[in-house]
Amino acid sequence: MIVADSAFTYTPGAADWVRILPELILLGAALIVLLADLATPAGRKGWLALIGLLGVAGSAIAAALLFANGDGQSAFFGMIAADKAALFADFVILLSVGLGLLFSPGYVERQGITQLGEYYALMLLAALGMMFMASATNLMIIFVGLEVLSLALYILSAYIMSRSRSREAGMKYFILSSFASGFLLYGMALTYGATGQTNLQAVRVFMAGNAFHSGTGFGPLLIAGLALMAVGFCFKVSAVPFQAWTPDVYVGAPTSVTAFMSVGTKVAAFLALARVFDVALLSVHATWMPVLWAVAVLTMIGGNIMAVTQRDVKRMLAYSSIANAGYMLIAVVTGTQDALAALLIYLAAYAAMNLGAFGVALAVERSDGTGATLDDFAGLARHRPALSAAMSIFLLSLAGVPPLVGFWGKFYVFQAAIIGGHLELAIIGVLTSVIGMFYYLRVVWAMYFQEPRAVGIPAVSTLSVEPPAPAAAPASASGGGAAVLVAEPAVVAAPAPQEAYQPPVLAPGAWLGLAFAVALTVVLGILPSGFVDLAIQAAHTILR
Amino acid sequence: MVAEYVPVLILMGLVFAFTVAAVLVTFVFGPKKPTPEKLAPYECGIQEIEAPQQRFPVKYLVTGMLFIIFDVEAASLIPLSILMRQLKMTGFVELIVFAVVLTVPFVYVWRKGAFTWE
Amino acid sequence: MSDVAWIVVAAVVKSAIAIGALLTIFAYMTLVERRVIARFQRRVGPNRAGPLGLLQPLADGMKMAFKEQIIPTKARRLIFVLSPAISVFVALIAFAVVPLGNTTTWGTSPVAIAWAPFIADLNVGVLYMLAISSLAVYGIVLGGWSSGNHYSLLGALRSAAQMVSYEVSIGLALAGVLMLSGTLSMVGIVHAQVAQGIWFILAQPLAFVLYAIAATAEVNRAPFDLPEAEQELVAGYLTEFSGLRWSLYQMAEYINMITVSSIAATLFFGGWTLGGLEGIPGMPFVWYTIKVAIFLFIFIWVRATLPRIRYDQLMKVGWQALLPLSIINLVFTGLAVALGWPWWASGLFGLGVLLIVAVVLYNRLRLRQAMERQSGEAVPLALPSSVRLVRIAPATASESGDGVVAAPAAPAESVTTS
Repeated sequence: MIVADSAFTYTPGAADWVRILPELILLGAALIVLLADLATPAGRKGWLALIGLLGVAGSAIAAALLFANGDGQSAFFGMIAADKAALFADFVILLSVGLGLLFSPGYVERQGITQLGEYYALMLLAALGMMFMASATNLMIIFVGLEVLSLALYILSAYIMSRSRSREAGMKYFILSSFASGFLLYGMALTYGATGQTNLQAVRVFMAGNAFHSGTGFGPLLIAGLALMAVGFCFKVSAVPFQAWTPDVYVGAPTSVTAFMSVGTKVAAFLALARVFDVALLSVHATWMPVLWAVAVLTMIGGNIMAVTQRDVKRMLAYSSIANAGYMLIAVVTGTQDALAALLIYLAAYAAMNLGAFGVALAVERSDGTGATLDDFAGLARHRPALSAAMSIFLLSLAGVPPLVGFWGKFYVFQAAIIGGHLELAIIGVLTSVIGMFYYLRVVWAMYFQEPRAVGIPAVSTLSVEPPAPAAAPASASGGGAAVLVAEPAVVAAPAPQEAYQPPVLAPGAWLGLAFAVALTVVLGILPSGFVDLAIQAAHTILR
Repeated sequence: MVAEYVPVLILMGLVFAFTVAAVLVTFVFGPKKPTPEKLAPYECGIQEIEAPQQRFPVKYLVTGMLFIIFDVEAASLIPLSILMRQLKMTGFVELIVFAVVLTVPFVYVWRKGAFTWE
Repeated sequence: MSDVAWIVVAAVVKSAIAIGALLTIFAYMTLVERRVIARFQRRVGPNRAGPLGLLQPLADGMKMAFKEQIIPTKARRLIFVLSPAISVFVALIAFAVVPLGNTTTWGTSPVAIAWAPFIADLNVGVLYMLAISSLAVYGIVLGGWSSGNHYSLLGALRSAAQMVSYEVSIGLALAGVLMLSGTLSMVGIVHAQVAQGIWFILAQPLAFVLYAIAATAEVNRAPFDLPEAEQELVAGYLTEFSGLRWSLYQMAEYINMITVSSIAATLFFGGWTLGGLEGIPGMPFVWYTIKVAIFLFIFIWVRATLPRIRYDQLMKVGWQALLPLSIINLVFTGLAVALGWPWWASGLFGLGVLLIVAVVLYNRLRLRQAMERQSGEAVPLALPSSVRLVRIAPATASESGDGVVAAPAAPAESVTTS
């Protein structure tokens, strides 16, 4: 069949729809959540999370089937890839949104979030945008996916409307991120102007067929486009020096959202970055490499050093995510097939351990959003041994301790860097990992070897928002105690001073999510071969 | 096919000239005897209490956002409509997908009361 | 002279004719409207200036030009002065793609084609029309906002919300026609109707009804003339405008009426064709004019007949009735076109939907009347909470002036919105 005039003769068929089946299922789940929200009474919004999880599971099954049996062709005229790399990324994104959904019930109510139907729908839609961005093989689809995920995340970051820090997070993210989207789009426009193509494969063909000179022809235009796109992507993956938004947004946003977006956006942005720079524009590797090299070095050093000074664990994890972006950038800079496999391995490992770490932070967080500082973690092992053990596993994994999955991520990235001729990056990576070891292990040390400090008795109850402590409350008594006094006078007599720290009761979903994350971190760490093989297969398809 | 637009541009030019002339003419003819009362905002004889250029009711902004969403969707449907004859069932499936994605949020905002004007 | 120069000359001449004709039609539309409305109300209407009042528009125009131009101190001067011009500019340029006849048949040279009875046959004609007509809201909003007046601002906001609400339905309703025509070119759509042997009104009755309602709202005509509801808003966005710039707004409104009538005639009623009779030289223009004139008359008729609807009802009709119906129409038309069903399939479907809507509305009316009969007094209106009712004391029957027969005694009480 031929449509329109002869210039464009592509008609989408059933096969195209099958290739985006994971995305379609997730979209359907988001729509069903919206409709179900209308029918669900206020107290039972947890069911919506279940619907979302079912959608995520269905999407993951579809992705698995496509991974095993799909033809790996791209859908809709080379717009969206259904290759194994895209599906692998889909898995990681689905894992992160699934864990994010598991952490949410209980937590979101405790934080005083209303409008839960939209919350869950937006989580799913953000994941949808991430999947599109990770699968995109066309500059336009990359941008569309980016916008879908960003718009959803702007709202989600500001979702605790009663808390100014959350509103600040949403506003900051919105302004800075839309600015970066502008950069990215402008870079894409210039790249299109230079090459005449938005399709990445076509750009690659163009680059292969035309000599590149930085001073003449399409060269200057392409360099400008490369620079702007690099800025845009570096912002999205929160690489230094574009990281300034990250800590504030990660701390201010609801922790369940932070956990999800810290992983999901990275997967999407790194896949897109790899496709643009390592596939379409590989022939000008020498041109863009020094820039990304410098960014990677800055990110590794800056992220790790800034993380050292943090007392708030959520903020520390935010800086650690910056540092991890630096390690992933090593893979992009190297640009070989091994490196891309290492990138995928790192992303998957990072998803399991980082989501888990944020999940624990979420579990100890109080209903006013505080309570995740190092002091709060002090002596946590006494009261919450399971939670502390899980946190230790995630942090050791993040630090790169061998039998855990984080080690394999770092191992493959550094190995690929050394083979790919970037020994210096590997050395910097290892050295900065040592710095990382310090601040990760400090939390573990606090949990196990420090005395609990009586800095605030958090409210155990599920009260949505605590009324502020009156000014007349005695300053010697802790602020949290005063808050309890106001909220529930009868409770005051009960807790003895030494029972200082008691995190809120965790919802069963969150326990399940944490257990899942622990299992992934440990099992994949001990038996990495299967999943490494999958990643290598996946990376093989990205370079075609 | 830019040539097709040349007559449109010429029309625009002429219309522009006409409108500018019409606006300028208003300043040429006619008396000019301003008094403070005449130049005050028309408030049915009551003195103005506060300036009107303040924040608008949020309802209008909601309507504006809904318009953007649905009008963009309508604009996207137009090319599909044009090609419907050639695309046959493929096009219809896409239309259905589109219509569902359009309808579910429509139902949602309806039930949430965005269309109810109090 | 070269071809290019001739084409430019043709465009200039046609544009000038179009502007002149539209301004003349506008002037006489005001006269016709006043006369026709007067006839509806058993009055005579303006008949003093010239035979049958035919010089009335001229007199009006002169009067307007010599009125004082008031620019209130609170107004944003530049925007206040320019916004009527924006309205007129947009209204006039929208007419560029309306075909008054077929492409010329007396030659295939570019010059011959350039003299066809339309300014341009864009391949995106309908889209151009939609795009330009959606700009019309700028003139009104900017005018109302820059006046520095509460009434103006409210009128402008209402107008903006109203226009954007109905624009969505217009786009979706027209998409049904576009499925049948397969082209966006206005000339092409007329040709498609000739080729298929029908007017698209037959295949798309629902789309036409939706378009007719939405277009009336789009040009702010009664019963959707909320922005100018004089009982509530003095004159809406027009409050602070005087003289020629006031009449520029009127001009824009009437030209927009002509434009939407032209779209209706072209897309639904075969444009310049009339069952083969368009072959007679000169007749296409006549058919086109007759069709547009009928629509314009209906505009006036509706204004004389129907009361203005309430604002919450207006938004309700736009979003909760027209939009879903247009989506339904679009989906079914898509199915019919995709499966290659004949034209009467979507036609019957559209009529069926219209019938269902009519039955539902009629039933609601009957139910209401039954309740009224049972309780013996008027059932309270379903009003939004922001509207309060004021009871007005029964009016004493008074002698009506002018020898006109008084209407039957007014109802003992009437309700009004505060």
